[in-house]
Amino acid sequence: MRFNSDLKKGKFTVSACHKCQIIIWPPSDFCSMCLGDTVWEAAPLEGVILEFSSKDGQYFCVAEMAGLFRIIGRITSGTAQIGKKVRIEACGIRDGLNFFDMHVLD
Amino acid sequence: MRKVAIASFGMTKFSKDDTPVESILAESARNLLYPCRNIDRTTIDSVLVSTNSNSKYLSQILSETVGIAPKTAHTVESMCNSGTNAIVSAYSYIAAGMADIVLVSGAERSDGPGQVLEWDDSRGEFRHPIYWGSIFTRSYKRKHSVTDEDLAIIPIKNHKQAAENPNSLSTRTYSLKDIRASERLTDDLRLLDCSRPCTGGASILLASEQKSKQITDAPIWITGIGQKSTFAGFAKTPTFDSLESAGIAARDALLMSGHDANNVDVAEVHDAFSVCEPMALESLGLAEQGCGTALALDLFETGNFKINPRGGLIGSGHPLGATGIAQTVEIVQQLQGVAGKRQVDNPHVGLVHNMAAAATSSTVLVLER
Repeated sequence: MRFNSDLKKGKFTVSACHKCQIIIWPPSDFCSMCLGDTVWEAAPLEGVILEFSSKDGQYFCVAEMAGLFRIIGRITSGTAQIGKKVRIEACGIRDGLNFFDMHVLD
Repeated sequence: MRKVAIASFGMTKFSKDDTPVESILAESARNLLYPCRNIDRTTIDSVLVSTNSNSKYLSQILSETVGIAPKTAHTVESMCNSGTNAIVSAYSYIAAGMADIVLVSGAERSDGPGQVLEWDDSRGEFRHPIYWGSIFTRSYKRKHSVTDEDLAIIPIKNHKQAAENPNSLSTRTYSLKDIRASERLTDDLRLLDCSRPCTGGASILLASEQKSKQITDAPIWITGIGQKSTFAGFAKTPTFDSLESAGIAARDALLMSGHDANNVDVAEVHDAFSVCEPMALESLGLAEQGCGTALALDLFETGNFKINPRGGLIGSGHPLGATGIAQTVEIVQQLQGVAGKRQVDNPHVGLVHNMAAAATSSTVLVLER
């Protein structure tokens, strides 16, 4: 799947259905609504923190990206707070796992 | 539909033993069949296995091991919700007339797969359940102004109750000081807030009304079933402070049974983490919103085992494929009045709540004597 191959290159790609005007997430080759083919697009990189916690001083959060889909990422800079904007600064595969590093914008 | 009874059960002790899943299944089924000499094994139509194990052909292996040649035999997997899903499948076979007697056996090893949903890319590198448990806990505490100390009553209560359960993994009780001193896993979870994966098995025998009379004098009836899968991916969960799927499943199960939550005398709920118990109690209608921990505290202080009498997942341990069946076995014992020191006073209606993958799916059963 292109999501995985792009993520290996540090690019965050999602699948979109233009007919239904939705992002299919987690990614899929077809739309869960109309079952038609999806197209691969660059993911929106900015979102809003919905909830957060931390482990060993490292904050992680659930962020809603452009109001379209949600993802859990690591907060690498800035102070976590619900409602604050975040931006994915880096993504890829680390220790065999997908990662999304986020910077708090305001 | 035909009525369906729970006619017998068998358990293994939950442990950290290095036992093959085939042996765990066989032990719990043997513990069901061996003492119950009036079960004619040639009349068992179906054998369903509940597990997350990657071992193959387990229902046929179990059947051969305990001397059954069933018409239907297969495995049911639905992460932590597997056991109750298998019971619902067995119920359906009997209610539809496709089977008269079904053996349901669940088992897991402490190192078994099933905790992590590899498919869920929305979790990124935060795949272990402690991350959704932390998000739920943070969200619930904020919404209801609940503290870590408030939530600590859940492991205090459930370990205390597990101490009366001879099959539980936990063998000791804990104080608030112990909970606070336990290893901090995240800002919102300590080690004693978590259920522990373990090795264990549980078996249950479901039968039609006619067949159940040949097996037991104390059948327990499954009178309500509700199930709901909202999503598979955690991040789509609409709120992190309530269990949407549990609420829907409970509504349907109680409607089917003709009861409401006020009629429930005893319940097993899925306390994967401390916060899950109050969230479940509130979503199931057993407590007012935000009052789940207060209910747990009241039950603890009054010595009332109404919620999670066997110690829940936190006290008993959590062998994923066996958990839903073990929860059901506990409610059967309670309704039959054979729960020993865990016995709730004269219960008539019991409820089982099981769920998987951050409550993206739930099953609720209503049982009656």
